[in-house]
Amino acid sequence: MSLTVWAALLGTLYVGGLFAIAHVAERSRRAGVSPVDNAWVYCLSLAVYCTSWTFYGSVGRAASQGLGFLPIYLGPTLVFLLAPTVLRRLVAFCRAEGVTSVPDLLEALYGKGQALGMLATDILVIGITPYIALQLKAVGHTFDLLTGRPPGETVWGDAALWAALGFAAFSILFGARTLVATERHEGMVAAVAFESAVKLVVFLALGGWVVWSLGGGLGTVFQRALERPDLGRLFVLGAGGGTTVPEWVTLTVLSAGAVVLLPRQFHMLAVESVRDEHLGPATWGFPAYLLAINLLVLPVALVGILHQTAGSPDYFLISLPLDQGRTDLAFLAFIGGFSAATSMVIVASVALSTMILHHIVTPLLLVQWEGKDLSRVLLHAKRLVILAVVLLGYGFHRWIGESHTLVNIGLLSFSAVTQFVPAVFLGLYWKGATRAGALTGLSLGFALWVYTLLLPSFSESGWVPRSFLEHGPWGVELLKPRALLGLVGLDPWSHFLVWSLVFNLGSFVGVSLLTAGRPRPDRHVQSVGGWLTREDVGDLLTRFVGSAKATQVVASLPGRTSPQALLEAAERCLAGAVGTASARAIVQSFLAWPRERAVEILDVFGGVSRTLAESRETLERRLRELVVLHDASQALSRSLDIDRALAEVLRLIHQEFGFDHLAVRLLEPSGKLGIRCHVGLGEEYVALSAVPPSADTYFGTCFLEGRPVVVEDTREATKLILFQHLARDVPVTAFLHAPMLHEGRSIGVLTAYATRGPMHFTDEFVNLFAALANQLGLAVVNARLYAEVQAYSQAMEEKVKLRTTELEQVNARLRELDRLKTEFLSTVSHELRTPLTSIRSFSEILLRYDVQNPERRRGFLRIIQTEAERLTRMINDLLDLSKIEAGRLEFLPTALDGRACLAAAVELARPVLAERGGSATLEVEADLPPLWADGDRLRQVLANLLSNAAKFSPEGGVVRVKGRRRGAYLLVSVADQGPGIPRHRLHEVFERYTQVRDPQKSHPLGTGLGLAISREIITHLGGRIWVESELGAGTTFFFTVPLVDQDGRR
Amino acid sequence: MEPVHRRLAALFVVALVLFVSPLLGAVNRPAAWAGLPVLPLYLFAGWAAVIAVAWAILRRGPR
Repeated sequence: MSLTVWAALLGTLYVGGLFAIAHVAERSRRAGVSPVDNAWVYCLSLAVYCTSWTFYGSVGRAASQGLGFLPIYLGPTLVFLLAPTVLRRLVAFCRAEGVTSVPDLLEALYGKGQALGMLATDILVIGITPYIALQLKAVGHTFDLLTGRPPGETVWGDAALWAALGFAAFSILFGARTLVATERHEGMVAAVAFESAVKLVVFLALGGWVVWSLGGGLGTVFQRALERPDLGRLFVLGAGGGTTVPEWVTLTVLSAGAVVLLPRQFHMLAVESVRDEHLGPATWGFPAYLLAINLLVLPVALVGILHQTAGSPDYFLISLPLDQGRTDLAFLAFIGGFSAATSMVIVASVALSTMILHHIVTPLLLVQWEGKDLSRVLLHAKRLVILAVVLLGYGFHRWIGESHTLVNIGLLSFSAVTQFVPAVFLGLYWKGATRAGALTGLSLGFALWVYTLLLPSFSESGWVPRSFLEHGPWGVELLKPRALLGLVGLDPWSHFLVWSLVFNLGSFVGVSLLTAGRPRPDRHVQSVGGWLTREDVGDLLTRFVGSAKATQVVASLPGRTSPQALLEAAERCLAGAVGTASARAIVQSFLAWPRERAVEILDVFGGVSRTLAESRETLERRLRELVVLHDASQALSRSLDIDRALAEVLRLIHQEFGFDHLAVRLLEPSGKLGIRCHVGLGEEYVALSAVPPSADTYFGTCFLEGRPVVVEDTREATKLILFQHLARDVPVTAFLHAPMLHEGRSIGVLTAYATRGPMHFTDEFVNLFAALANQLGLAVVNARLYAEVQAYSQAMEEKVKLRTTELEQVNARLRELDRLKTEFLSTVSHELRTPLTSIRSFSEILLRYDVQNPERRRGFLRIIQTEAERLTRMINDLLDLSKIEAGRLEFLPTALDGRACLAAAVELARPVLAERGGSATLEVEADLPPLWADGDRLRQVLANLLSNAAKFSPEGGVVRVKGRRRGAYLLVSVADQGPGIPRHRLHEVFERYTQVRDPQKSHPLGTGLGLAISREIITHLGGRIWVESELGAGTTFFFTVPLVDQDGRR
Repeated sequence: MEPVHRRLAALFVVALVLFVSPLLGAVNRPAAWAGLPVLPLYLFAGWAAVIAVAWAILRRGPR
């Protein structure tokens, strides 16, 4: 088999081994044992710092520049002496804030917005991609070197591509297992730690072989080197093109910054840190690793030079064994370099993808986010980004080709990363640092990096005209990128560092001082007055990190977590998944969701206070309580009108506690519990909710049980019958019912509906609310009593008025009667006196004078008799009337022959009529059935009517009497030809004591009782009597009497 | 600041002086000591010493 196949197989096997280690580590973690929870593993994982640049490049740099490779490791050593202080603070901050990358850290430090994070991400992607390319280049180059084949011309023949794909696969599997980047990737860390061990062992083993086996021992190597004058420059600084002292210092500074802020370092240091205590051993453990891996760099380089090894000194570790025919050792070296490259690419791609996802992808996704579940999208995006980052590195590697040495690319990345030092560390330690300062410093620093390092290196590679480097852009010498503003005499790195101090640090501090005074925005979303349920948080997190992780996060929170703590936990978890800035944006938009999940704690009166400030606050609240109660009772006492009082109190509650929807339900007389007064409810609901109180509704329950009913989150409401109607008009999220009790009996329910989300009603508030409800109850009862009293007195008044009217009428009638009686008495006495006078005068004549003439005497006596009869008749009338009035008149109805009755009556009347030359006619219908009447009384009536007719008939008048059958009655009419009665007096005819006098005749013609008596009689007989008359044409009296029916009875 | 941290900070300053200060000028010369060039010897020895002291400080704890 060819070497190519072996090498490919070895590489594949090695990567396979990494997968196995990672897999075992993950399994072990799931079993509850974290294999990476170990200070040594932590130190080894930090050694991801040593990439193939260390493995191959240090030797190369040592061979060309002597000790110039050392500052790269001395800087980290210095920084790590501060691990338990400075770094620990950084790590703790990142852990607390859920920070996952440097851009995230900046957003966490400087608050609001995405710009800073985006800028930082861009800088890091641009700065680190060449570094990844460098690793891939090393892998490809060493593969070709090892197998002796010509560099792969095609992409598919390039070993670097396959390595890149393998690395990407590993990163995706073990670095993007879940979205939450703050969660540790045990598998990846274990693999990286293993690789760090491998590269150290391999380097030491190979170095040992090179120095002692090839070089004859350390002493010999140095001795031979010192003998060579051209090598002496390698042992001092600033001699003959080697590293100068300023460069030495610069590189120390650059590496000190890079060892903390390089994406892969930051990831291992802060994100994968299991516990802060591991930083202690790392203080010396990590520098010790660096020391160990560097011990033999210089000797190996010297041996390579002494043996005049062909090819780039960068690859002495492979070319030396190959020169000696030790292919096995060359393979070993390849594995060491491969390890170094692998770990760097894996960790860097995971770290870069995290920040790209957090600061570029997520903000873009969130622009259109409508609360959808993004957990899968984000996870896939992260995996794609990892692949993209690795392939970008590969593309860069193909592009730059052989034009750069390893070390230059590495330092380029270091320099880019160093730009973050002021923003990060001043942000952590200096309160005056501002966002504007950080943005300015970072922007200028990055611009400087591009201008003084990146463009010149492109220029050296020929992509940018060399004149740009030698004469400055457009020939402006002052703008020469490596001698900016005339700063000459420094190596490019020191030149860059000096200008960085000016542009980056200077502008950062300057702008910070200028913009100072503006407080840094709050790092966390404050849920002022709001609270969340665990379900809310779980629900939110599920959309981003999937339900399993969300459940885990929520479950890990203690039982009674405050809403603010819930919110912070959610933000932290989200920060791990999508970055701090996006997390903040998400949580903010989440709090502002239309359904207003966040809520207000309506804590009117805090609990027992511990501090003075708290007690003052409590006092204020108590005062407010008293004021509300006072106002309420005033409003209630002011008005005895129920509705006005209720409206007033509801207005007060609305004003004081901000409820926009309130209702007072009262038990109606119909037994329904209806809304009597409300604020902000729909009419439809008001109509619908009038139902008898039952346990099916919350207000019914409250009413029946006489205790407040609180529903703090309507999503948990179970009695939904009426609630759905309510929710149609009013988005109720929480409510509180309090019974209005009076003498231990519910008379209604006072309700407050909240719409600003679930609400927590403190016990104190519920008590106050219940007290208000009771006051309302009392007011309602009072108002009702008052209304009752008022209604009663009004009814009494009306009754009195009615009685008074009645009495007045009766009084008037009595007075009329009195008047009539007086009149009657005078009439009657007059009437009685007339015949008495005749009788007396004629009897006196007869007594006093001796009336000789018998004829004359008889005449006188007849007059006396007639007058006496008339007198008797009158007295009989009076007696009859008094009997009628006393109800003592007796009726003895029998069957009578109507025609005979009428005929008899007419015959009796004829003589009277004849006296005045009148006559009477009688027409009676044939075949009349018998009447049912009292014969005497009927005759009395007829006699009355006929005598009336006779009285009013003119001389020679005819009185017509008719009898006709009319249904079951006999209709009798008596018509005369008298003067008639005026229409307006017709109704008086039958009244007692009334006489419709003839206007022409001043003297009365009877007692006036006849018609009244007739009416009484006819009415008693079951008939009716009435009169029709026409002035000047006569008067007709009608009356009816019942006929005997089929049975012979009435 | 805890004593350990204070000592480490002091060590940091010492290391700063050792590795990135004009003090380097004292050993920055083409000479050998016991067959080894002075500057590399100084640097590696100093480096090892700093690590050893850091280890000792942490091991000793806050006494």
